[in-house]
Amino acid sequence: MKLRGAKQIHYDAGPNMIPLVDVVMVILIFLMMTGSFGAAEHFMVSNVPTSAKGMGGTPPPPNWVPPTELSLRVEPVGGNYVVAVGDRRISDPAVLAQTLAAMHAQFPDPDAVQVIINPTRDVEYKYLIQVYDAAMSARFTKIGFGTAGLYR
Amino acid sequence: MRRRPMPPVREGTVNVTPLIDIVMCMIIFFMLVAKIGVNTGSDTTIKVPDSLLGRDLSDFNNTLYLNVRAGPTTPQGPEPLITALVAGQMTELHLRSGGDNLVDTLKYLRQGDPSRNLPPNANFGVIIRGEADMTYQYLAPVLLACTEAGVRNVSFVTNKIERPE
Repeated sequence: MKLRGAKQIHYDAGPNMIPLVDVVMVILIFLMMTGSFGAAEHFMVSNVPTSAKGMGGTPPPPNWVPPTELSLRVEPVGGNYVVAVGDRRISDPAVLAQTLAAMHAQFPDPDAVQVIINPTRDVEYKYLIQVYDAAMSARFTKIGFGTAGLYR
Repeated sequence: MRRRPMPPVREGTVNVTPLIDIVMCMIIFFMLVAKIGVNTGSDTTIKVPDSLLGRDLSDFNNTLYLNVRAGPTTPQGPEPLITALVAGQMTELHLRSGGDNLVDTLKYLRQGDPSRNLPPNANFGVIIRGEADMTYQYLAPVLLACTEAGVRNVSFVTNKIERPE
């Protein structure tokens, strides 16, 4: 008697998806990590020391030429701020950037110009950064803070 | 019964899936280890102001992070709350009152200390992480302290935003 085993039914399951899912999950975790560690912050670098207005101190050396200064007075107005540039008073950051860019073009040596931001004591730091941003967008390279307006 | 020989073994292509799997796990591991090992002393609870422009700094070796918040108003004037990672410990620095003094700390790091064989460090920089809503009366004394200590490289941490179209 010839015994025959039951005919094995073979279902075609297709390609094995487990390694694919495994690698995709690992790539997903990798991309999540890179996204979360991505720097959402950057730095505004100042190379102009803060100037403290005052009398006395060490006299300057004989051949010292004071740098050209562009002073920006910043005052709080309501919940915002206003920047005095020359005889103009500007409260819009975009207009401020355009004004400073126009002034930048007028200086014979704009890279030697020091932009000094002189806020009053009550101006919020976030507004000062906006003014700093406007000066940077106008391509001034030397920007710093002063204390001339601190005790006004 | 007729014995049939074993069919010949044919090696297929190498299965690279486990290789990719392990490599990705190792990459994630080293990324996590590298990030955990570096502590710059930055206080991430401080909400920094937004800015469009700025630079990416990658080298924090020669810098000191100063976390600055608005503090109490003392009879001598407004006193900011300043913390920094000094000698591996988060330390509260003061402008006037007792405890670790900000100017002394900055002078020590910038100008060195011959008694402790610490040379001057001309490239020493300060990174200020200031609260967006604090007023200038709290920031100005910190900037003046940096100037008094001879620190020329001062950077401000800001939140990068895109220009609105």
